[in-house]
Amino acid sequence: MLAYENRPLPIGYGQTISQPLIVALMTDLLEPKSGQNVLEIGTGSGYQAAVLAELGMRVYTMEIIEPLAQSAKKRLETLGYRTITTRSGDGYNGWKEEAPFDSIIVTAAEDHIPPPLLAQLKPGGRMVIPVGHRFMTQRLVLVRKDTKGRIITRHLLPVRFVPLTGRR
Amino acid sequence: MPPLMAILLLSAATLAYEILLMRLFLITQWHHFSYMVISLALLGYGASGTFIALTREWLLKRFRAVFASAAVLFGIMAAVSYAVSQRLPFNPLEVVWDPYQQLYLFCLYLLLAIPFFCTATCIGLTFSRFGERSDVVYRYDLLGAGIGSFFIVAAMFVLPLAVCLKILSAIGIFSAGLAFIGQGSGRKLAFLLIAGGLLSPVLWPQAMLQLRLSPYKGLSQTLQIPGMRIIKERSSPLGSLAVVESRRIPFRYAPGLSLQANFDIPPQLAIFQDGDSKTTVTRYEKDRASLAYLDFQPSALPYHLLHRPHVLVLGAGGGSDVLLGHYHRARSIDAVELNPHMIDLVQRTYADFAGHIYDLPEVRVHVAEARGFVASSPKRYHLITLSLLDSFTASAAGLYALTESTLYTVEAFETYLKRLRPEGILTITRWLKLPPRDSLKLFATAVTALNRLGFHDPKTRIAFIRSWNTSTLLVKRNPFLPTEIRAIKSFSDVRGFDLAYYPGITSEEANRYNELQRPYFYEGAKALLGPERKDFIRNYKFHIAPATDDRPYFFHFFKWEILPELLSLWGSGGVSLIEWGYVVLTITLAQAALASIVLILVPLKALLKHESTPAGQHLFVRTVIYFFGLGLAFLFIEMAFIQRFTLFLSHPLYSVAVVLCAFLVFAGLGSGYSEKATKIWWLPSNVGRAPSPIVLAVGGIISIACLYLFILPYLFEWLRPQPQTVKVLVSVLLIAPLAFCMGMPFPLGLKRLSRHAPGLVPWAWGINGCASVLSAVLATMLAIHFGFTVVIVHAIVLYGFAAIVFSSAK
Repeated sequence: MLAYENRPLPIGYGQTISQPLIVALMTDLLEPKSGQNVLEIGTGSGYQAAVLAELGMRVYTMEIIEPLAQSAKKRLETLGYRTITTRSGDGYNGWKEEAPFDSIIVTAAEDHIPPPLLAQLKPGGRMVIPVGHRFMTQRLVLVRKDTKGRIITRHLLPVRFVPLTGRR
Repeated sequence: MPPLMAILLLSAATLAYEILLMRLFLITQWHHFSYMVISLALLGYGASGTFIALTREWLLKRFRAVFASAAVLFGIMAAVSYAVSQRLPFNPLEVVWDPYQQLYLFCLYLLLAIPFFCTATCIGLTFSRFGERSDVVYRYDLLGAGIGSFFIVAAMFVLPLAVCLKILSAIGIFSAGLAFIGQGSGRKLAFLLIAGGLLSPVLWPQAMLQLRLSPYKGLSQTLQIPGMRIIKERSSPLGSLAVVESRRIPFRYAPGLSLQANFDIPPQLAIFQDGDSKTTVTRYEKDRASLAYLDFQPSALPYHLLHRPHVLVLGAGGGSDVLLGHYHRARSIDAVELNPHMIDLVQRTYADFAGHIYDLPEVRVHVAEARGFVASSPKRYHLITLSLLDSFTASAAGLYALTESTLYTVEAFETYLKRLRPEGILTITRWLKLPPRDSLKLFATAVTALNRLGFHDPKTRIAFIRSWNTSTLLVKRNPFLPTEIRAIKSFSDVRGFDLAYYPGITSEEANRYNELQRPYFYEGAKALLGPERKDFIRNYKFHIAPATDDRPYFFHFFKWEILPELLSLWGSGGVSLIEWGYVVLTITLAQAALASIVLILVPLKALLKHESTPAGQHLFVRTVIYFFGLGLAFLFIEMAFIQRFTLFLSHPLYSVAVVLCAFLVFAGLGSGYSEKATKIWWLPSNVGRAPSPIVLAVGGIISIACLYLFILPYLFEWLRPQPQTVKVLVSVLLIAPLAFCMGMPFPLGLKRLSRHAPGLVPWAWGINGCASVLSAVLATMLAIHFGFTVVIVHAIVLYGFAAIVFSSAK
């Protein structure tokens, strides 16, 4: 029911689940394909991981706050998601054993994007980072690694807010 | 005899409580919500006026008992209200989404209004009971408030905030006892209350008053991570610092680090200020190579244009910028930091961890306010740098909109540029916001400052780059040389940073690595340097006109024109683009205005019934205008002068403590003198010939305020090199005559009311209280839009109008 309110929701431990619109946009930006593997840094409630699994992706998800990681693991198991692997711990160094990834979602990158995560992204892979206040996501950053390993970012506002100089 | 000492102490405790609440809420929540909650809580003053006006006869018959009960209740509720407010599940960040949060907010208002209501009832009732001595009562009220403001600032340096709260609570109970001293029958009670007051600080349970940080603040979030723990805490009115150590998962703070970088970041300690703004202390073991990651942040750019520069770091914090200078072998580094505790942590407590960076031969550390330091320093630099002085999340949510900052004004830029050597560079790094706001405002500020310094080709003297998450602006006195431009391009290319502007840039270069829908920063920079500059600023959807010392609201970007568009996009992200600080200010003003109208109007019917004398009825409208006008004008002047003196005293804290204390104490003294003024000018034989003392006092206020509007800037400039003690003394001397006059109109008016319409006295007190609350909010709003000069002009007009209306009463 709460999902229909289309707003960010607190999930305890000072964490939030993004508003459904943002989850949808992030998922769309990853251009998910069945059978691809995706790394999620910041499991939270497990909602985003479930969405990706529903699209046929193999999801590897890490959560730094242990109680959250445990409750999400339990929740996802109860709901029968077999293609989601959870782990608690620091996401900065990624998940070397399962790398490289077709796509990565990072939910808490404020000051810089961890270089190990960039290294674990496949050439041609996509990474999405929501940036801004946790109750009001301001923009999404899409990171692409081209086939030569060159890294480009693209900044997207969730809102259609153009042109900036309205009356001109 | 009025209970004067009790009033002095209660008044001191209440003003101190207000300042303390501001600090407490700033630490546990965020600035603008604390501003909102406390502003509204102060309406307790207005409510007490209504309460007394409606129940005056009953209360006056039991004056001592009511006074003492209210004082005791202040003492108890000062602590209890805060403790309960901490336990309400209020989350200001959800207010826009969740109606329950609006209910909690309302509960907060009511809860925190109780202590203010109690004190206001004590004072208002005393005015009512001793109307003919209102000058003396007002004098003790103001003197107490002055002492309270000074006491609490000093106390917060040496005592934990919870202890300060307990002391203020004790003063309330203690002062209730004082109210009975000299009253034969109440001696035992007086003794009991005084003893109770003295004992009470040890009776409050420790856990009850413990600070509970919002779980969404940076420090709370960090402490959720396994292995994180606070290893040191320091508190002062300048900020509460918490040093956090990570045992399992290292901090890796490197704002805007290039996506091409592949370096390890050395272990770090994090220092959180007021639970949010984070700076880090990086472990340094004299191995410069370990700092290589710093060279892959945009803020490293100026070091690629200068060879071994003399550097000034403004806002040194944990020392990252000092390390960057050290990495590039800067010849000298002057590191300026406002908070002495911060310096002490890096220089002494964690000196070994930090590699004694603040004791390196080339480094000099200065505890000073940045702007004041630059203005008074005779040294000239190759590089002046300001980096990311505000936290990322608060910046992203527009939580600083109400914060004055004299670091990013046109005048500040002029001061920085004057301290540069001809080849020198001013560099400012900020978090990247989209759509662009602060970085374009900085760009516009740089252009204006260069123009004002006589450099009429600013387009040759500015460069601007951005990473995925930060932007760095470079401003030079001399034009950029071709070699420097090559260095900028090469630096950015290697690191994957985008060029937003440099002299000669083409549009193809502007949006290569960190793609935006359009090259907004490049387009903005070009427009701000071209003939369409004014139109661009006017038509831009955010407020990007440069901030000035008169309107020092750099973080204010909100424009009313775009509100309908943002609201129409509410569910799809529009809400995130609203600068909440300003919206909250507007809501606060509307709520305060509504509450004031209700509080002023409610007792009207009862008053009309009781106040049947013609003289009393004649005074109705004039009472509203006079006491409302005084309430607005007094705080307008006080707030505007705090801002004016902040630059002169080089420190916001000194300014608040000195200006507030001087204003209140001298206004208190002036209030005492108003009695004599009455005797000299208001003799029956002089009526009709000599001007009334109200007119004389207001004449004095208007003359001095007008004079200060013109002479203060010159006087401050002239006295700037003087030592701090001289500046404080001069400030007090300047404030004294103005405040002295400002202390007179209120008691003179009350006296007149008590003579002709005593039933209106508590009402006037309530009206004045409501106006004071509105005034604080209104002054900020006026200053944001028109500047502090206009705030002073409004105060002058209000004083004049109020005096004319009231003095012309028969």
